[in-house]
Amino acid sequence: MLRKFAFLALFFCVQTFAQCNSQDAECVPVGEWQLSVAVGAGVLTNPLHGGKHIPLVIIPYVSYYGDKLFLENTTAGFTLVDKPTWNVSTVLQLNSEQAYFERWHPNNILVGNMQASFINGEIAADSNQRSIDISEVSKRKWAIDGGILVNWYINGSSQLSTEFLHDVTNVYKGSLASFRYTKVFSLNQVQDSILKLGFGASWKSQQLTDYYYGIDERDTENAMLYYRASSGWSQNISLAYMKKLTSNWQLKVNIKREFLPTAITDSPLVKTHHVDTLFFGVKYVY
Amino acid sequence: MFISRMNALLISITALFPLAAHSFSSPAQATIDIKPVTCMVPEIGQPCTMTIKVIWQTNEPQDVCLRQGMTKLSCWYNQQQIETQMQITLENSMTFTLVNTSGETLASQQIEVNASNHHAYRRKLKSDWSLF
Repeated sequence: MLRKFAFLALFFCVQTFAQCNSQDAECVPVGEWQLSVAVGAGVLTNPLHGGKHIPLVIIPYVSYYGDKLFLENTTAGFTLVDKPTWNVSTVLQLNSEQAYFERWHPNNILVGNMQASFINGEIAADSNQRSIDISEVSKRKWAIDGGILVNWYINGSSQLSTEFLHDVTNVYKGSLASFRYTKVFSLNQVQDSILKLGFGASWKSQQLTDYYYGIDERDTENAMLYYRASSGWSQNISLAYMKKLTSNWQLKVNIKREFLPTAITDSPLVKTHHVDTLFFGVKYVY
Repeated sequence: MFISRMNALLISITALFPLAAHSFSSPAQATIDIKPVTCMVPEIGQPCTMTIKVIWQTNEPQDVCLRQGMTKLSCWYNQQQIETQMQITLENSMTFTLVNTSGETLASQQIEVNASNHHAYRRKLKSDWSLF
């Protein structure tokens, strides 16, 4: 298996990367660090009981693209093949699930502790009265996923991206996959501005959902709160608006809603069925 | 008898030869010379505008057009040699061709677009942040 992978990697490595137009906002110079920072007002909602919403005030961006290697914030990758209409890369990236469990405000309180019965992902009718606060459960760990990223550029404005990832840090010992379609609209009425609409779906394995959202004896002695999560699909929709103000400054608006799978929302840890991201601000590109 | 048959054959070949020679003649030979052969831009992808000097000639007067890719730039009627100047705009390296009225290419030349600040660019592979 490893020999096959090595052969494929060698085959892809001899391919050269596709040239890119320097005027295109999606193109970056090879071999240069790109730094920028967005400042504004925004929030990433936290779906967990006791989890505080995460404020988005200053968002740093860092990226570096070499001939093959690249770094984009919390993702590092190696491009195996880069063609004008598609590319394949191996990636290592931080799994963001743990962000909801960070105790941003340690004075969280237990929301409820009613009794009910549940087993293997199924939960009784009075589940909404049974919940547990993140301050009451054991600490979850950050994980790093490794896998394959494939981008397909359908035409000049549409793109399909997919990722297949596995936990390489052996934290949750599972996998995830995501599929995303984005369409860019150029607004003729407003100069130097683009509107990007995205639809996506992601699958999280039982090991992932159960590690982060399952409840067992490591979390509480109250067996009535035990929950074993199954695998599940989430969907998301996003809207991004960017307008170039000067050569360095951009106006930036982002709106995104992710609809969580029932495997997660049925957990006593979870209080909302979706996660929202909102940001309005300006971005400075160095 | 044999000699008379050979004479008849030779006469036939001689009679057919001019026709055969005409049927298999190649298109009129032509040359084209465009200068400069390279257009410099600060960065690849930026449009390049420059004035070029075009000299072309054919072995007989005819109607020809000069094309930039598939775009017709200029045409001349019943001309055998032309020396002229014209302004062109290029975004990529392109081939300039001299074609006759049948659309046959008589001569061609490539004009390159090069960047003085030669940075290679590649496409971003990930969105800025996964949360967006």
